[in-house]
Amino acid sequence: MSNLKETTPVLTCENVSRFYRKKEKLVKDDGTVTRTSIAKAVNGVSFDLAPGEILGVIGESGCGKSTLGRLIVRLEKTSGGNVLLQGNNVEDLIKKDRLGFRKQIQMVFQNPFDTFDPRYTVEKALVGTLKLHGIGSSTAERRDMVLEKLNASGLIPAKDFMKRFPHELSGGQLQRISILRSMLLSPKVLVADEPVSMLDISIRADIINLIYDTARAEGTAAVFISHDITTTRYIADRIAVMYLGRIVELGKADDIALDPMHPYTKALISNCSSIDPREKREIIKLEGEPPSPVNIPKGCHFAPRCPFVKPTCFEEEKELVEINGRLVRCGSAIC
Amino acid sequence: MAILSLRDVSVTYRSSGKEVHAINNISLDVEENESLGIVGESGSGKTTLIMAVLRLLNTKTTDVTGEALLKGEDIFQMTPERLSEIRWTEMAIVFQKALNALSPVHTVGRFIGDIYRVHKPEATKEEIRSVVEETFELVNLPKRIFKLYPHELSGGMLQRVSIAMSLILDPSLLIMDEATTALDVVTQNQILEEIKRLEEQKGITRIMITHDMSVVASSCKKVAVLYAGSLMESGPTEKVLVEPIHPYTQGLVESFPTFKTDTHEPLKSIPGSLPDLANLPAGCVFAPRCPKASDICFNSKPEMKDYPGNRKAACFFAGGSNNE
Repeated sequence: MSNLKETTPVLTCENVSRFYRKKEKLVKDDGTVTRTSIAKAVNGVSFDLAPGEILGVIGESGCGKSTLGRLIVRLEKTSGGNVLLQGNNVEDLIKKDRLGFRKQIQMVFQNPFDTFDPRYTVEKALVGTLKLHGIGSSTAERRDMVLEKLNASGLIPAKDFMKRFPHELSGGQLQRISILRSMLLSPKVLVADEPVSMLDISIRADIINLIYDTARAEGTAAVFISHDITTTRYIADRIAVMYLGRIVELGKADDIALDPMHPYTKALISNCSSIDPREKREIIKLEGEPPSPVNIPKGCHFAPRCPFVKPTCFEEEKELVEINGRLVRCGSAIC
Repeated sequence: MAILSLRDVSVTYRSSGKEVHAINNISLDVEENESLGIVGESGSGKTTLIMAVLRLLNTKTTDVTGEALLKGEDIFQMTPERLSEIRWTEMAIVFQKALNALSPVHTVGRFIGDIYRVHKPEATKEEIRSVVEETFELVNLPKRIFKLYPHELSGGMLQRVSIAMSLILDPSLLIMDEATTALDVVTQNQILEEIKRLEEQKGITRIMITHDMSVVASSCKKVAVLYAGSLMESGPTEKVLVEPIHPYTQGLVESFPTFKTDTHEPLKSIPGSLPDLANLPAGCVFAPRCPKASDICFNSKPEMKDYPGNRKAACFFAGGSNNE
């Protein structure tokens, strides 16, 4: 895409799609009929990610942002399109060398308590990760590497943290360790799926700053998936807005946050939270809720709820078009 | 007149020989038509406080002391009969997880109708149905959902059903415990708007429990900030969230990202974590994490004091010389 620098992208998504098939039993008066329905969770998503760049992916629940994350780290297979890591298809990479592939793309999940073995101490979990990937020559060396990382990220005294089990840590501390565990491997790409949404506001900043600082320091590209635009704007260089499996707008974080062009982005941002009661912003009201990805409306997916809808919106879906250095999928934004 | 007055309410959980002090000496007044937001982080005791007021805590494992006066009548002293009389008619609650608050084997109409029938045994079937349908209309739900089961509804609709359930007997006090937390921002704003409209229409007073200060900012007149079971600061929303005087509230407000702040200027956080509620510090509960703490904070507990502008705070340095 043209708004990227000349550097070769570390991650490329080409028309990535993920459809789920579901067989439903419908009981009718004349007996049972089965029907297959297709849920289009992710539908033709394309983007490039430069080394060290942070891309925020935002959208409401059910828009496919988490599925996209899982496709990038190849926890799920794509139904169509390709995910390329430095030009190589991840399907080939994972067939050749699963462990080597995992070392290059790491993921941080929402709930850190689900991602640690409850019977492993922090030391065992982190040193074990290094050993598995053959980093460091001895246990002592690996321990020192872990200690250094913990110290550097403010988990002090690190020696004390090493001995603890996951249940002896707070959610924020464990999430930080979860990020450090991923970053120990110096991955090319880090996918963070809602890493702060279950944490208290007063400690969220630690996590955001840690992802930002380590990604910048190591030159790791990151995909930051969140439903919270204000937080995403802090960390991301660019933001992609998703609605019903499609990217509807993609551009620089500040452009998207301060001057959204797509009606859905506008509505989402106008609904965004502020803690200043004096601030009276005009909220764009949306009717109803997003339709299910099984019954995607014809034409523009957002048309049935769009406040700026035109009759032509229901006929055909627009492609992503570049306007002022960003991509927008909308007929009315262009006119 | 205050519709709900808490006087020196404390809640202690007893578990395996330990005493966990979840709520410590909270006094609070909720005035009529002055929606109150109670904000706090996880473990601050906001849900415990409400469970105590609703008398939903297990009496075998918890000690509740103090007074909770609902229109002058102490809830903690009520007989079980009196308690079931006032539940739903005087005070109603909306829980965070609407799906868990409803019965999976009953249609939502039937389930809500039951509440009405218990309190008004003389009502006919047709009457109940029309009352339930009217209440659905109030919260923008179509009548047809009367016959649907909870799993057939979306999250936003379920939460509306929960709200309809709480409104069916016209309570004077409505308590919402993280009622919009699980919803998307767009749906959340829709529901908050409806609630505000209904409040004016029906003269309901609302207590909103949440960790999300933006919800309080947009929907409550007053706010109370809770930390580790103690009240830190309270007062009108437009004062407390704009110019907080307690260091904890200041920290909370600063760590909330906004569109105004410059990007990539590092976000602020409050270092440290919640104290062990079984082993509370001798002085101020926030002192170990407080940037302004001095010796006095570690040795004695600050009292809730009045400050200009109808606000209160529990801090030795609030509004004083140490407060820029």
